[in-house]
This record gives sequence, structure tokens and C-alpha cells, in this order.
Amino acid sequence: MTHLSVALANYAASGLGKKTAYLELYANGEIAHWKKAGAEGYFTDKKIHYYPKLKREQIPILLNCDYECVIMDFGDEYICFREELLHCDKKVFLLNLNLWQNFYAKKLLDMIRKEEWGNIQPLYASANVQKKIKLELENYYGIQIEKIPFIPDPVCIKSDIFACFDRILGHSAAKAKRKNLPIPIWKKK
Amino acid sequence: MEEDDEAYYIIEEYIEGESLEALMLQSLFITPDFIYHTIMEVADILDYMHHVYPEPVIYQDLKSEHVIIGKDGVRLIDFGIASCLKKRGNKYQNYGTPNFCAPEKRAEAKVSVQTDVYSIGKLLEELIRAEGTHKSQYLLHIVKKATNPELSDRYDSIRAFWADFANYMQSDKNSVYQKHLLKKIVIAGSQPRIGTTHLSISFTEYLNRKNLSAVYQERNPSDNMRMSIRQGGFTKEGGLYRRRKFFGMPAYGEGVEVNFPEDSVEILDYGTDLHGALSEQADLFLLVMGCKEWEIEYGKTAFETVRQAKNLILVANYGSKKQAKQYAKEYKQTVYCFPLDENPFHMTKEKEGLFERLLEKHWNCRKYSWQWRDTFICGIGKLCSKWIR
Repeated sequence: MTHLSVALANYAASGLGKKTAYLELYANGEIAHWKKAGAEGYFTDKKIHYYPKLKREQIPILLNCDYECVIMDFGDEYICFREELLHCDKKVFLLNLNLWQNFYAKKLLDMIRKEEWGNIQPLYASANVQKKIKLELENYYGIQIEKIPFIPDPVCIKSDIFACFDRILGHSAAKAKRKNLPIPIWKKK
Repeated sequence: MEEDDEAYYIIEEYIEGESLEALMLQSLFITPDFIYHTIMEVADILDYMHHVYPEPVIYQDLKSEHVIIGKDGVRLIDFGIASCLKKRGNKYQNYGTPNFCAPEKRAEAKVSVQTDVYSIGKLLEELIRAEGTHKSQYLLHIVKKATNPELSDRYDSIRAFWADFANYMQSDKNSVYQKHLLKKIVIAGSQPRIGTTHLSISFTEYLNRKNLSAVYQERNPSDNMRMSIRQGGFTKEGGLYRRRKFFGMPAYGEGVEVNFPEDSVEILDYGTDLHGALSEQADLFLLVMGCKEWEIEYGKTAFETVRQAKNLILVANYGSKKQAKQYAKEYKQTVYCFPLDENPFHMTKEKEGLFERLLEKHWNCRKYSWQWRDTFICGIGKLCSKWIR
């Protein structure tokens, strides 16, 4: 989860040129072991502001700052941060589809399906995709699971992963424009 | 679509030009240059169709009669039997032209993108035959591979064919297209809003139109490239953005790594960061200067900063010849005038002339005129004279 979140933050900051913050919200945070936060509560790496072990009450304050992209890493504490998650513009659930771990995914999906998502449906993704399990879950829950390609270094994103991250972040910067002129349809009165 | 009391009409776009079949009757116009341009343009269209999402389109009816050469380049017509490629492959009845039709289509087996590869191979073969003199073994090998009846021995995609063909045509073996010496070109301006980005984009567009792969790179904090991208009209290919012949990338941060196409010229737009531009050790350094009275002082300061740069070229923006002459006199070197221009993605005669002159010294390849216009005009002329007779 942290790996994907850090990778997405790096892509948002360096690839899309957005002012980005990374908020680590779950209890057993790992980011704090990476670098020490300064007096403002964050440390900076490749123009991203990392907020380790952030408290829930600080979230609105940071959302009110001038960040263009805020990546919130809830870890596996979906229930604890349910209200915050519902606020988000993009909700990504990372599922583990290994043979011996997919029951976690099923458990999570069972919880999520009760939720009223409205217009912003969550996005399901998985790095370890067992095709059979993926199909089974997709058919059973009526969802689509995006395959996350292998990201060797989350702080140096290669361009072949850009398309996948664009889909996850819902970024459609480039709109294809070939000459597909619409056929004018009109009727004589 | 229109309707009257008796029937429905479909009104289609009028495509001005001549079919390749008609042009091939005049073998004088089928030069290696022409073959190169035609095949590259056709391959580009097919490649686009083969990558349409979610279902690629196979054209299935490529032949010289359906390739129209006009002033603006190549167009394909008659999509009557084109179809979307299903995941399991398509099976169709035996439509198409026997000479251009792939064996699997004749056998009513499953068709794929390789069906179009076969047809483009046949088209290339026909063009080589029409040209007559330029029969290299390697080119014939490309034809043979593209038209191989066995799918496993044929190019698996148009891109694979395109890469092989372009490599050969641009290789040292081929006298028509020799490689250029320039690899890195830096462009910087004496002050903001002086047209550095405009010139950089135009230059990239020019080089790509000459089939010398060039990539624009934004190396300044303006974020102009991203703003243009947001306006639309670009397609994203990896980390690069494409707009017809233009390839470019916005200023990326350290957190990403973009695969850069090999053998392409880097056009680095440094904005007003002259020191950054100097640190690049480029093969060519273009300094854009303003010509208005209040801009001259900035021009002088900038020139003093970069005068030691290797292969420095001075460009006066907005076509003020008087001021350009003044600069030339003062700095004792040629100053080029960049014309007033609306659209950097559109190539005009003036811009083309400027870039040709600008690169004359550094160019290692034969100059050639804009192939389409000449071929089109000559071809039409010849056909008309034949018809009158």
C-alpha cells in the first residue's frame, strides 16, 4: 500500500507537476522511519511533502492548504477512516489476489459493497493478479480490478507506468484529437 | 446526412488529390523520397487504426488505388471492408483485391493486423517496381518479410515493419537519407515572452516533418507545455505527448524517468535560464532576442552572457530586419529573423526557409524540397497534359 501511495505521489508531483502532499494516517506508519519530519510536521522528498503519523484532526487543515494533490494512505484501516475516505475524489482499494490472501480481499469487498458510493465509485487495483481469482471476484462483485504493473522504484516512476497511473488518478491531460469530424445530422423541414 | 422526399444522402468530405495508382503511371515522380514519404504516412495511418481503443480497426483493403496523394499528404479512402478486430480474431468473406490480399484472407482464415502488414508490403513492392532504379537487396528483404505467407515469419505489427523500413531509409547505406550530426539543440531567450517556446516548437515540428526525429523538452518553470496539453489536441505516448508530427515532453521532476527515443534530436527550451542553457554543452545554441527598442538592452546582456557558447546562433524575433541588421553589425555575426507566426504547430514557407538556412552549416543530409507539394503539382500537370492529348 505504502509502495503504491509513494509511487502515485511521485507521479503526481514529478509527472503531472502538481503540488503534492502525502498523508500517512494509519497507526503503524512506516514513513516516519524514512526521514524525520521538521517543525511543520513534514519532510520533503522530490518536491513532495510527507506527513508521517498524521492525526485525523489535522486533515482538514492540510486540505485547506494549497496542495493540488493530496494522497492519503489509510493502510488497512478503512473502517477507522471511513468518513475521510468518502470525502476523497479518488478512492483506490488495493487488493491482494494471492491464493492464500484473497480472503482478505473478499472480506474487504464484502464490507465495501454495503457502502453507498454515489457518483464516485471506488477503483480496485491489484499488483499480484491471479487471473482466475480476479475474474471470479470481478464477476461476483460486479467490479473491475486494475492491474498495477511492477514498480521497481516508487520514487522513480518509469514512463511505461504513466498510463496506468493516469487511469488511477483520473488524469486525462491529453485528449486524442485526430480528425474525427462528427457527421452533421439535420433534417429538412 | 440529409434526407428528401425520395432518398437519404450521406455527404462526405471531398478529398483533393490523385490516387497513387494514377501517379505510378508517371514513373518519373516515383523517387526514393516519394516512396519513403508515402510508406511512412500510410504506415502511420494504419498504426493509428491498429491502436484504436478498445477495438483496433483493420483496414483490409490497402492498395494503390485507395491511397490518395494530396497537398496535405496521404489519405486512405474506402473503408467499406474495414472492421474492428475482435479479441479472438475475425473471420470474413473473401473481399479485397487479389494482388494485395493476404493469404489468410484468401483462405478465409482469421485476419489480424498482420493482414494489413501484408498489404503494405505489397504496396512497397509496387512502388519499388514503379521507381525502377532503386532496388536494394535489403529493401526487397523488407518486402519479402512483410509479404511472407507464413504469419510467424511476417512482421507482427506495422510498427515493426515501420522501424525496419525507416532504419534502412535513414541508414548510411541509403544516400537519400543520411543521419544528421546534431543531437542536442538548446534554445534560450533574452527575456520572458520573447517567443522561445514558439521557436522551439516550430523547430521540433520542422525536424519531424523532415523525418529527423526530434523531441521538444521543456526546461523552464513556465509550465506552458502542460497548459497546451490541457487545451487538448495531444495524445500521450509513454511520457511523450504527440500532436501530429510534433513530439514533446513537459518539465518532469526527479520522481519520474522518461524513455527517450534513440537517435532523436533533443530540443531543449530553457526559457530565460541562460546559465542553465550554457551548462548543457549543446551542439547548437539558439539565442532568441527581441527587436523592439525596450528589448534591445536585454538582448545585449543575454548575448554577453552566452557569447562563448559553442555554435551560437542569434535569432531576432518577429521579423524586424532592420534591428536584426543592427544586431549583426554590432555582434559581428549572422542574425536570423524569425517571422511573425500564429501557430507553432503549422509549418509555413518562411519558417521552413529560415530553419533550412539556419541548419545549412550543420546539416549532413541532402536538402530536398517539400515532397508532397512538388509531386502533387507535377503529377496533376502531367496527367492533365496526357488527358488533353
